[in-house]
Amino acid sequence: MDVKNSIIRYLEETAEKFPDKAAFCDEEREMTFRELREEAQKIGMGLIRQKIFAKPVVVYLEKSVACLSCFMGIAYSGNYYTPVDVSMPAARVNKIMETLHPAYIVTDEKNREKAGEFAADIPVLLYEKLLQEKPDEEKLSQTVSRVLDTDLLYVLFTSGSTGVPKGVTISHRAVIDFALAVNERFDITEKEKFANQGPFYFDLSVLDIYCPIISGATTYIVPPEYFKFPIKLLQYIADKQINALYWVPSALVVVANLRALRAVDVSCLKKIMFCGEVMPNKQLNVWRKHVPNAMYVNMYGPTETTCASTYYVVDREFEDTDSLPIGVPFENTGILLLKEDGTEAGEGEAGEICIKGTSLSAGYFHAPERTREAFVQNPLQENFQEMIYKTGDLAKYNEYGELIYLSRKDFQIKHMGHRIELGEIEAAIGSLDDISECCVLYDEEKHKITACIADEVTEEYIADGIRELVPDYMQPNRYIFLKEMPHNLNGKIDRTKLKEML
Amino acid sequence: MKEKVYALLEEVNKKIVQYEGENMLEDEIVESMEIMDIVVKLEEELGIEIGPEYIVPEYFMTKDTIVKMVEDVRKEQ
Repeated sequence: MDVKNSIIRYLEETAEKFPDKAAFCDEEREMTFRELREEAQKIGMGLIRQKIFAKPVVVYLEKSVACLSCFMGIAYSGNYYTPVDVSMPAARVNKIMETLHPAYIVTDEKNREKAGEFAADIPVLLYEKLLQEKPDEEKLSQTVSRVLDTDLLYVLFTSGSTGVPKGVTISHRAVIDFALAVNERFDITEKEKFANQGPFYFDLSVLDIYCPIISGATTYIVPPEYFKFPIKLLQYIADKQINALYWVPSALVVVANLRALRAVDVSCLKKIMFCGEVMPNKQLNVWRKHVPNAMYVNMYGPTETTCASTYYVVDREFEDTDSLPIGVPFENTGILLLKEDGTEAGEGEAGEICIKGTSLSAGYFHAPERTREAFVQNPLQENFQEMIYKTGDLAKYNEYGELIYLSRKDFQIKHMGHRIELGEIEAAIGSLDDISECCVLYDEEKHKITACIADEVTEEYIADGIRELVPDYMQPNRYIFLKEMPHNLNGKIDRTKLKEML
Repeated sequence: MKEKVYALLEEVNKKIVQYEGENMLEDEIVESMEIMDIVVKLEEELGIEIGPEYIVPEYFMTKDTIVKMVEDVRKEQ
């Protein structure tokens, strides 16, 4: 029987099978599977020596292959990680730290001082020092054996409507089953070369990290600035002979709209997968025209179900105005489309996407109330406990039995692939002095976040004020100042009227 | 022409026109979708076609290098 309790078992297996094959590469170095295992063992050993187990550990580093060594090292020690990007605003990092209370922060010399600012009371371990540890194979193996597959591998933080980010807990089993399902469905093997786009604090990157660890594929960490200049990006893909992508649609849209596909031959690409927001058919068709031999896959799934829950392999032509299906669930996942009354939606009827299966999160970290609201008993199952996650996304089935995404039920948006609660931006603006009321809206066509304010302040005042509160991708693209905010009869801001006014 | 380009840039992101530094990419003034918006806007409003070879970092350092890009595109066409 080949049941593995921890992702580390897969790393060890792959490192045995492909020791000298590149696992992860950045601009500085190419790290083989053997090196990844060795570094992870050293970091794991350092944490074991601190005598912590099943505790949260923050990784505070710039995006690089070192992050992967740290993630795997933390898993080796039986603890779980949270990636925090060094560019994240201090106020948000503080909120994450307050929720998580990590046992340690792992950082490097370069970011040590900055890490100390957030975490005066949290001990810091240096990556460089951890690499000097001498691994004790027996102790490491004993520690990994103590891990249950339902134990946590990581906690990723997503936007929360009250201004406090939510920590989504994900187990080894959730990641293993997701990655195995993807590898099997799309024939991901050691021959794959991925070009990573998603930041490590974003669930999109889970596929780029774990499908390779299980299969022996390679992931190249693309320098983020290349995504601004499609020619450079495509040249990078051609140079490295990348054959698989898993990106947010916005990244593919920029490449298509700037006609870069005409200029660089990227016929090396064989698997083009995307997730995180709606992929417009117009730009998808540009890609299909220039790279006709690739398989295109539209995926869908929230952080709470690990990475992606459904997929649709593009198998027919789509007009610009058609809806691109989000398809059918992966093998370890079940989808229920539930109407308001808790019954299942029939063909053509809209219902909320509710997800069950082994890739489901164990709930939000240190937030039982929020967990109870989103993770509920399956109303169609009366005989035993079966949890489902209510996504808040509305969808319907088309005539092929494929899911079609319709819209959100609430004020959550997808901007550049990031899930954002408009309420979190409103809370940030509302926390500034002299702001009595504000409303944040999203223009889905133009991909613009608009903040509406009815107070006598300047755009600079707000922009400067919230820079330290919310990440770059949550900063409003424009500000509208009104004499008075429209209200409905309940005294709430009338968002519909406000949209019309704009 | 310079003023027209500035006005179009302002429509995309005011900070681009206000920026006084030497490299607005390093200073993270513009994001990838905004570069696309700039190109699309310049093409539509100025009736030019900006080839992908012009969409390189050197032309997106400041508002004036964007003006230079437009001039170079025009020379070519």
